[in-house]
Formats: sequence, structure tokens, C-alpha cells
Amino acid sequence: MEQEERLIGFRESDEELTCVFFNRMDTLTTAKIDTAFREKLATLAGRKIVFDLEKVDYVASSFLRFCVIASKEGKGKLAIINIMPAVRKVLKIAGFESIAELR
Amino acid sequence: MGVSPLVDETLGKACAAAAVFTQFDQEQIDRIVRAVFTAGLSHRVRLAKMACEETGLGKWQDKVWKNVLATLCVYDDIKQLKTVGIISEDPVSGITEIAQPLGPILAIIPVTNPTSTTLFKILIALKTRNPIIISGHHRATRCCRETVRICYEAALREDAPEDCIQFFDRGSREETRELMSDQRLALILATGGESVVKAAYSSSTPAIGVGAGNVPTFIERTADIPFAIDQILLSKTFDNGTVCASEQALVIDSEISGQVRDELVKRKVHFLSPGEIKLLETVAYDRERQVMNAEIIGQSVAGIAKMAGLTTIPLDASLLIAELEGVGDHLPISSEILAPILAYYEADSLDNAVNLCIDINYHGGIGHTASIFSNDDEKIKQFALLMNAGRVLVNTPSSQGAVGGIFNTLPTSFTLGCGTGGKNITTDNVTARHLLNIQRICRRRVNERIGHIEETMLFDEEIGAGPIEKAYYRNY
Repeated sequence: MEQEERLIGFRESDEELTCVFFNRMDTLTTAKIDTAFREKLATLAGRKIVFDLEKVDYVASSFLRFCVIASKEGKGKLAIINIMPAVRKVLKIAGFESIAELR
Repeated sequence: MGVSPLVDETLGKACAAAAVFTQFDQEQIDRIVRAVFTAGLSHRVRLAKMACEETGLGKWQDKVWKNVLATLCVYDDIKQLKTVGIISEDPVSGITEIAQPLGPILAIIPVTNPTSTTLFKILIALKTRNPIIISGHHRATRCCRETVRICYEAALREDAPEDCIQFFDRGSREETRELMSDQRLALILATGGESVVKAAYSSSTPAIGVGAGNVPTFIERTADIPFAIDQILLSKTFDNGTVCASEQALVIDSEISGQVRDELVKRKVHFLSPGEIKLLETVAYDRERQVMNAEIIGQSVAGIAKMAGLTTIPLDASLLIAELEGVGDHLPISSEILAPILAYYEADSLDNAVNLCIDINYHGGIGHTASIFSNDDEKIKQFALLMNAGRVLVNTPSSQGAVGGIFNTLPTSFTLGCGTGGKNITTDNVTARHLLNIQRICRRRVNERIGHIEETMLFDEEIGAGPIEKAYYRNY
């Protein structure tokens, strides 16, 4: 759990669940946090989901899948915030503007 | 009408892979490419046998050679290439070049070289950070799918993006057309027959295609004749003549024709009688569609003899030769036939020989390949200037020579551009260099010569070009 907490964190309010990701979101890392992520999503209760990528400098296909899952579960459009340029480019090329708000 | 689920899924995955690929640096890419090259080369024999068995074309040993070319020689050609980030900087011009990937590529694979073309296209696509979707010929789906599996697993072991290589085989024709036209696709790399290349160019997606060949081979009087005949046999029997760049017609200077015939006969080439030519035409050529009969492609001499009812052909004949008087649809063997069959002509002058080669070249082979055996460089140049061929091969076997990397310094490729004559965009041997968008940083470097010209001069109608040019080039 301690290992996963360094890679993913959460901020919550009545309206929003913000998932804060840390470091490289490569295949290994996303596998490590998968359970924590899904367990937290299960407590969503109709709130909006926000992904905070301030500390993320790389995303693999497995992380893009997290985005797709979140876009289907949350209220309204998934918001992805504090995006580094290289990661923003990835999200744009992957066509994620159709499923998420990139801020 | 919406996009089909199969096409949507395939392109969605390819776009995600393209996106992830943009984050990879040169070192990561080169590790992936090396892993895929190694895997492909390691499985060269099994894939060759699969291809031969599934398609019923060619010889598995020669398909091994094709797989070796498609991995070892292609890798050798591309391994040092800079394909990521800044690839050149010139402080004098102030221009810096940056290599950007294209995006998802659809690769059409021909039945003649299924595993080798797949290996080749995967390597050049990965080297340039482009996800690739392989669409195999319907008669070669198993061997193509297996090639994709081997390459993909090798790529993933080096952390390549998921879905960087996909195999598209479940689609209907309509779905394939839909895939080709989808705006998410960056490029179609079409190697195959006329209809598939035409479909690619008609799709509104940028495409690099190929053209048909009808390769004239001129044996000029200064040629080393035994050597020339050896090279021609090496080429034309290679994989039972399935390479589009293989010789289709020999044009011989009549002064040396006796020796040429002797050398051919010594090597068990069979000169067909007029009656035998007529029988061969019925199986080698589809008169209605005016193309070679697909059933003859890559068949052995023995197989062809059986198909045509040629009962007097020696069992060990290496090639079948048809001596013809002209070129055209009325003489089917003067057309491209991808099998161990050659048309044969004698010419009593250099001009007549070159005229025949032009006729053959323009009879369905514009832009592809021409071949000459000669030791007279002036005649080689004269010949080349008159051929409409992307590659004019000198003293080399045409099949292997056109592919490049073994008998010359052409880059190794299984996609040979034929230029506008073949309705292609290039005459190059297509390689990784063609799969990049080159971006340029252009720093300020003012052309001071423009400043020499007074604007009043430019707006004065009475002042002609001369004074303006003089002002431009004035050195002070």
C-alpha cells in the first residue's frame, strides 16, 4: 500500500474525486496502482473525476486505458489537469479531447 | 453510416500507440528495432517455409534469402539512421531538422513476398516511431499473421507501445476500404498488384505505392557473356521469378547472339518452338484482362510445362525462353510474367536493341527497372538515359539487384517506387527515410542581396530583368 501511495493519491470533495498521479505512468507502474485506482473508483457515487498529472512526465498505453475507464465512470467529462507538454501531445494524438477536457 | 467496429477499434489502438511512441527517444527505438530484427532473422526459415506452403509460390530456400534481406540488410541500412528528435543542425544556414513520425501506417502485403515484405515494413515503421497495421494478401494470411506475432512479441519485450504492430485480417473488402479512407490513418504503404495500389491512391489518405515491371535486359557486345548469363539465371530462377524486378526479356546484340545462345543452352535453358510458345501463352496470359495469369506466378518450369501440356520439355530445364519478333498484347510473352519464362530478341544494331528495350519498358513496366550487361560506360549511360526506369542495373542479377544492398549500394527495400510513369510519387527504393515528417527550425539569415535592389526599380515597368538581376548580384 505504501508503495502505491507514492504513485497515486486522491483528493476528494462532495462533487469531485481527484486522482493525483506521480512519475512515469508506464506499464509496470500502472499495474501496481491498478487495484487502488479501481477500488477508489468504486466509491465514486456519481461525482466528477479529475486526473492531476502535474508530476507525470510519461504515459503508456495502460495509463490511457485508465483515462478511458474514468471517462465512462464519472459525472460529465473527465478533466485532466496540470498536463506537461509532452504528455499533452500524447493525449491529443490519441484523440482524447473527445473524451476528456484537457486543462 | 458509422465506422465499422473493427476499423474503429484498429485505428483507436493505432492512434494510442502513435501517441505513446512520440515519447520514445532514439535509444529506446533502436533497442526495439534491434529486437525485432533479431527475432525476424531467427525465424527466417520457419517463416519462409510457411510462406511457400501457404501461397504455393516460389521456393522456400529463396524465401529464406528474402527474409534475410528483409531483416539483416534492411537493419544494416537503417540502424545508424537518426529518426528521432534533432537529426541535423547547420549553423551556417541556420536550419535544424527534426524527425517527426507520420502516425499510423497501413501496410499492404503482396502474395509474392509475404513474410519478407512484412518484416521489412515493420522494421522501417518501428524505426520511425510509426505504428503499423499489416494487411496480408488473402492467400498469405497465416504466414503474415505469424510474422506479425513474432515481431510484436519481440517489440513488447523492449517496452514498445501496445498495438504498435497490428494484423488486420478479419475485415471485408468494404472494411478495408473504410480503413484506407479513415482520417486517422497517416499513410498507406501499398505493395501489390495494380488494383490494390489504385485503391490506396483513390482513398484520400497519402499513399506510397509501386508499379508493375516489365524488365528489359540488354546484353551489349562488350559484356562478359558467361558471367551475364550466370547472373540472369541467378535472378530469373530466384524464387521461381516472383520478384517484380526480375528480367522479363533478353535483348541481344546479334554479333554475340551465337555465344549467348550457347551459354544459355549450356545452362539448360529451353528455347521454345513456335508451337510450344502458343501452348504456353494459353496458361501464362489472361487475354481478356491483358495481364499474366495469376496461376502461373512463382511456378516451377516443370509445373508450367505440366499446366501448358508441354510434354517435350526436358525435366531439368532451368528456364523457358520464347524468341519473339515484336512487343505488344498480341505477343503475350512480351508482357510481365512472374515465372521462369523469358522473352528473347536479337537486334542487329545498338539503336534497334535500345528501341526494343524501350518498347518492352513501355509495355507495362514504366518506371520500374531496366538491366544492362556491358563494359562500355558510354553505352551504359546512353541506355540509361533512354529507359524510363527508377533503377538501371549494370552487370547484376535484376531481382536481387533492384532490391538493393547485395549487388549495389541501393538501400534494401521491398517497395520499389516507379515514379509518375507507374503512378507513384517516387522512383526510390522506399525505406525508413520516407516514413518521416521532417520539421525545420529556420533561424533568421537575411538574404542581403535582396536589399541591393531599390524598390523603385521593381515598381518601374520600364526596367527589364537585366538591371534588376545585376543589382541583385552586385558584390559590394
